Amino acid sequence: MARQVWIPVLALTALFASGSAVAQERLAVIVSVDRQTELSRDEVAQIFLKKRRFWGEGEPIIPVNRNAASAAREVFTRQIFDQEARFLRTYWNRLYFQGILPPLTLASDEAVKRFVSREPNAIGYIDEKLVDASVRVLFLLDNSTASAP
Amino acid sequence: MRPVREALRAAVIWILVAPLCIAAPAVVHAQDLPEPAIRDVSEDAVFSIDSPIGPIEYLPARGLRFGRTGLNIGGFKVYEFQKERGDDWFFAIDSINFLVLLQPIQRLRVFTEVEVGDIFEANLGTEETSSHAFANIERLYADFSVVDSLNLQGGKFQTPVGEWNLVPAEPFTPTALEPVLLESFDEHQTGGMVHGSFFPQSGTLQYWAWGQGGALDPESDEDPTDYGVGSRVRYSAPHDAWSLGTSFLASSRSDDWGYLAGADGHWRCGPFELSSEFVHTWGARENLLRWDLFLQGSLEVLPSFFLNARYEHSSFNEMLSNVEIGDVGVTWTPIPYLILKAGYRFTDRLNEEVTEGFKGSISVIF
Repeated sequence: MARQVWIPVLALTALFASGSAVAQERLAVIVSVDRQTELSRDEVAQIFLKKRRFWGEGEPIIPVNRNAASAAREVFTRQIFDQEARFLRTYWNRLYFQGILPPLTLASDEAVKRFVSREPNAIGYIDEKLVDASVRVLFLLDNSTASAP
Repeated sequence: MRPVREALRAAVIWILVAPLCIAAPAVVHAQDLPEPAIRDVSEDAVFSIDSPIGPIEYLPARGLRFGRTGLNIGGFKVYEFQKERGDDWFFAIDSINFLVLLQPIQRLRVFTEVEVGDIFEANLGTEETSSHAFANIERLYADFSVVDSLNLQGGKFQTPVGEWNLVPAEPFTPTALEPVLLESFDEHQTGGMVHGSFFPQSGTLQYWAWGQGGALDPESDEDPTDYGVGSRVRYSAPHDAWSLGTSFLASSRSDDWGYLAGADGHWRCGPFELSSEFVHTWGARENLLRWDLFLQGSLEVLPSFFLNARYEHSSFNEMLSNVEIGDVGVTWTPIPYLILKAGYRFTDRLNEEVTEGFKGSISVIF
């Protein structure tokens, strides 16, 4: 009986531990390998706020978020927007009234990488460890600063 | 009237001095609090089924999405409580507003807001109830994006004067009571508009330029103008820390032209936000000469719980009769799609645009 109690406790501990670990990993902001554009953090913020909606040559940008409850999303939001939750909620509520919806969300880093590698107009972010030749890294984010690749 | 003026003076002082008074303790307090969860739960679907057109899913406060069609249907619902000075308490199911978006391709958005208003009203003093439900097309337009700096819009849209009128609906405004300043121009325009954004110095410079013909609107605002042209320019700093905007509008009614010039701005620092709008109207039309100004402060004292105060001044007509208005209230958003508000308005002069009393609302975004 005691073992049955400890199993979920250990599982939850492992879950939280892994979440913390992910939160401390560096994130790579990625685009398709075919896209040679360079972007600053402020420009990426404008893209994910849907203020900047087109690439330089005129193609529509497709920003891809991780799901709202993910650690990657939390790090990205804190690093890129430098804002509190209430600002973003108010911001998206106002845009909802104007008929503009937030970026689409995908449930895993793998899904984001797959999408970005196949969609030349997409931009997303994933754990740096998952980066491979199928995507191009714009810059890296960690819990304190952003750094160029 | 003296107590009213004293109260107004207190409200102005609160707006101006509050940042200085609360800044230091707020910083200390913020260090003690756990990191706020930067999550918008409304972006994750709570309901999803697969279909031949893709997943049909519902996101709280973001509507029902119909797969790859680009169709999204959502909206909001508002309940109101009100007691004007000398009147009974009123309860109303004020409106249900549907927001319907069709975006078949990235560049094209077709959007409409349909309001079902005055659904139910009860006088809690006399226990009389009434219902005068009606449906109204608040907005209907198509917007085609060429590039960020060039978007073409046609249809019925919010008049781009100031910040408040761009998003004036109850769930999205900071206070329960709206500024009297909004009475000085039409809420909507029906016609064509060009708008866009540039990005100097990591900020955002937006412009709007439009022309309108009131006769095109099948369900117009009360006593709308016949024709008009207008423009607006707004610069917002990176991360929307502050913004400045200016607006101009020229409109005619029965061949009499009137003009509007306005300015607006906002500044945000931690839990405190200050915003202000100014509008001056003049021209040949009767009762057109007026100017209005409001200054509003909002302070987040607890997570998602705000204290609000607004001072407003209006000068009407050639006589320049002045009205001073003060609004105080609270706004609480316990969950992202539920907004509770309460506010009290006091003034030194009542007229058809300005009443005194309490107003509360419960809004649900769906």
